[in-house]
Amino acid sequence: MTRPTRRALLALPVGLAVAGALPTPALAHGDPFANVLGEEHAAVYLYGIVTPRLPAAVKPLAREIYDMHREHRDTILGLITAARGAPSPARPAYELPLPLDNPGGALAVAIAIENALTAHWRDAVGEVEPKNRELFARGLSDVSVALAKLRYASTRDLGRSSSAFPGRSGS
Amino acid sequence: MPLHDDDVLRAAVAGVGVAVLAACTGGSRPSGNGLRGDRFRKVTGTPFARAADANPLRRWHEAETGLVALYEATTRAVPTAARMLAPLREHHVAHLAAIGEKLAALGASPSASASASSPSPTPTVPADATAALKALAAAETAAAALVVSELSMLGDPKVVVLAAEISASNAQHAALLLALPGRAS
Repeated sequence: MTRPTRRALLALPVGLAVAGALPTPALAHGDPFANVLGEEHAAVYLYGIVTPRLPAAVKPLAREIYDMHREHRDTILGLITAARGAPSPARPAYELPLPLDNPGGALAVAIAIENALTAHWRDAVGEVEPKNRELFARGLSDVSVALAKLRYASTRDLGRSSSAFPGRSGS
Repeated sequence: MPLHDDDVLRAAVAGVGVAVLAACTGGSRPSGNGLRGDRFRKVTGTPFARAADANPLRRWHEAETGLVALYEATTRAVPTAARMLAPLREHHVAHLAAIGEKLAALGASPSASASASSPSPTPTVPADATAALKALAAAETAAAALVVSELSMLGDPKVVVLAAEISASNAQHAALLLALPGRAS
């Protein structure tokens, strides 16, 4: 399986200015904190659209996942702010990665959101300073578990719901 | 005599528990001030620092070996769950292969583990499916926590990523096993 289209998840914050703690005054686009923050902003927005359209049995799970993304977003925002950085705000809107024409479509969108997030958290964990690795690994675990639960809601198959290396291309 | 739930859980996590204790004695914990790891990698990306990754890799290898054994024991005890559990066991086999590759790249072998002289206990699994799957989930959670606890001491960012992947995979397994309706009964 290839990674889902990420048209909806292109909200990469730019110009993350950090004073004091870092040798450079601004971190661009490729910064792992900025990348993950942008993805979490998008997820919070998109779950607001997707959740009401999900099958009734999946809505409680989606609300839990929505809360998790809010918590992730706030944690990353807090870390950037604590380092006297300037986190980018959320965009006014984000494009859906897939059509939302039926309850199955909504579930596919939620799975696509989590699939993209696992890739971003996974890539970031190798980029951050050692003291932040655990935080990013837990972030990867959180979104991987969310992805597994959503896939299980769709497939009822343990093997197709989980992977040996979450976040890797094709996982 | 049927085993008490607590006994089952203790037995299930015994293998990874050994590795968790071993982890408490290994490696130094570098620190940093910034958000990113660029400056730190200039220090830790040395052959010396990367060679230090062998010990945590061995502990994870031991924990994953214990999980494979536990899946096999569970499959024997609860044959109706065999088909469902097979892909999860295969994930652990893949973890072992990936860890083995990293060890080989360091010129190390899994068998040099500090606790290798203590044979792992044979997993004890109840015939009751619910208890067996609960024990599996507990072991998965313990293994995931072991890996995460050692991230800050690693020298090679690629090993960091592998560790995070393995931990996330094990967390997925635990969550799915606990969420199963009727737990394969």
